Amino acid sequence: MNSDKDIEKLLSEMPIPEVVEGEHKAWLRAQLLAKPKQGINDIFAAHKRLVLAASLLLGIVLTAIYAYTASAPKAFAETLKALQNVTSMKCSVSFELPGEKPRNDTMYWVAPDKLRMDFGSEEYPIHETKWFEGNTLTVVDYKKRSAVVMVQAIADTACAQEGVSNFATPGAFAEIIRQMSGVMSEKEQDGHRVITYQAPDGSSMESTLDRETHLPLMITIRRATGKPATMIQRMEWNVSVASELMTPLIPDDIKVTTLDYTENGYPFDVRPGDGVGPVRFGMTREEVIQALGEPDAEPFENMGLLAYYRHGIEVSIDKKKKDVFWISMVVHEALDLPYKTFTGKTAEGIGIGSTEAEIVDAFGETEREVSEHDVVTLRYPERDISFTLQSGLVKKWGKEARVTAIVMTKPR
Amino acid sequence: MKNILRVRQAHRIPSPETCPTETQGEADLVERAKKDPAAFGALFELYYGPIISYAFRRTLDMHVAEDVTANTFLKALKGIGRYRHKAPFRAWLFKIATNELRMHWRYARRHSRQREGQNWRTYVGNSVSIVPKVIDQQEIAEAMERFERLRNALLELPEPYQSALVLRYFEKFTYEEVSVVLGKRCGTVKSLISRGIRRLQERLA
Repeated sequence: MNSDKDIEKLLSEMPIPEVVEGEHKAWLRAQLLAKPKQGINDIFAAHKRLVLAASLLLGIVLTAIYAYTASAPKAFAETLKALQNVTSMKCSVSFELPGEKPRNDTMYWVAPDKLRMDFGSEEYPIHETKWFEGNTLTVVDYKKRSAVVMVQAIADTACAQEGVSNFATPGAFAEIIRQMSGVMSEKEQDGHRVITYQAPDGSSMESTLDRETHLPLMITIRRATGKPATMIQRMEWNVSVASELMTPLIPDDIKVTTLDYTENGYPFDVRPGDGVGPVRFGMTREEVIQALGEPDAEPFENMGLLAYYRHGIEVSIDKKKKDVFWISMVVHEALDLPYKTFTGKTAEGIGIGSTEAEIVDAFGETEREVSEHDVVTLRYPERDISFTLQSGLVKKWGKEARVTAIVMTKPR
Repeated sequence: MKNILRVRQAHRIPSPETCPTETQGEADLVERAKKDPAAFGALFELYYGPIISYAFRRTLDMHVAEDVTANTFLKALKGIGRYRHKAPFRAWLFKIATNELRMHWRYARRHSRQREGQNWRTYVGNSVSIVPKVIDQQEIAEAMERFERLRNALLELPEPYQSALVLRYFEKFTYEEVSVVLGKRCGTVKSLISRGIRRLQERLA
């Protein structure tokens, strides 16, 4: 390529792919033009499918608590009663995410708040295990040979809707129950009761209940197309679950990082165009590691992203130039990953938790972008920094939108 | 989903440039759609193809393209009451799609998801419609591979450059329309495109 003209010609004349309209269009058209809808899959975002599965399962268990206050569907009345006496449960969960192979996981629950999730099963080797107990979450990644123990990472208990463990919560289940107050049907199948809840958007949830115990044996969530999205199978109640199974077991050769969320991260200063604390733009990977220590994880393999959960910082290394070109700082609740809240501030006093007015006072008026769920981004390209503000994400902040992430890029 | 791919040579086949920007008829349609969701169907018919193709060109992943397209139209339907004709409807719609793509990449990066772009071969294999007809299966695959190489080079540029170049050259948007989609001034867009070309040249050198 010799000149800009050559590139322009290449871009202009390059044969480009075009998608021919197919079944997806017909399906989407039907969705758009149907009456206003709200379905099971709307309860949680797509990436929370596992969360949904877990919520559904443990939620049913937790119905015992809610049975007295929530308006639970009559069809589940006996089940709700039976669930008051359950003490443990084991099941397998298979679910499908767009673009991924179907997965099959195993879950164990022991009253009151112990939960184990094995990602993988007999068919697929277990590659990750999560244990929840009280306020602590332990995650072992067998592939990456790393483990994170998050102490006091969860408000209230492991089943509370806060931070990294926003599933299996009474709140989430209350929402499901509310959704299920719609159209129900019941049939007999292989000696079991099968109750189907049909959501207005065409998705459905089918629960197979044992005639004698009234407890669920299988739950299937289907997309509007009829294809199963999540299947909870082989549900066994009041089974004996070995206590060692519910106790985190980290193999000796696995690197363990312990994060205590009662302690704050170090309040590094934020210097737009220069860096954060001891990290500066232009540093090599080795220099970053020398400054901040070994990263807690490198979540995007081969992409040069160093994750420092303990500081609430992500550092990206340019693949070609091999130096730091991007740094982000986050609040604990912002991601599924176990970051602590970044506690540093700019010289103007702006940091995680600052308000839009405070940013505008400090940095001036600028371009304001509003995206899904009213997430606001304020960009200051001349200072190579941007702020993401969200409301409702961090309970203690109330409804006011505050900074949940700060991103800085290397000056051009 | 049995979506079918076809490869079109931009200089021979009518491109999205021929889509109306905002004619009076379209403006009326938008106004009707604000009051009657059924009228939204006509807008959907007009723009489904351009939006899903745009999403696919940027990701080379049919699953992601379908998700992005679905979210784009769902949000457009929800937000059409706020559309004020300050910019062409097409640019407004592409702005939503571009934001959806950004959110997808952000999510993918956060969740260590495999980089997309691996599944186009599945679709090219069995169900390819060819325009113009002289191109055979092999040529389509080669054209797709050339496109993928270019797209991978584009991916190495910062996101605003990628969006500006794709919208200008693949989607055939005017500078003004690109400025609407990206929420930047026209001069900034021209500068982004000019610098983007230079950066792309360095990568392809």
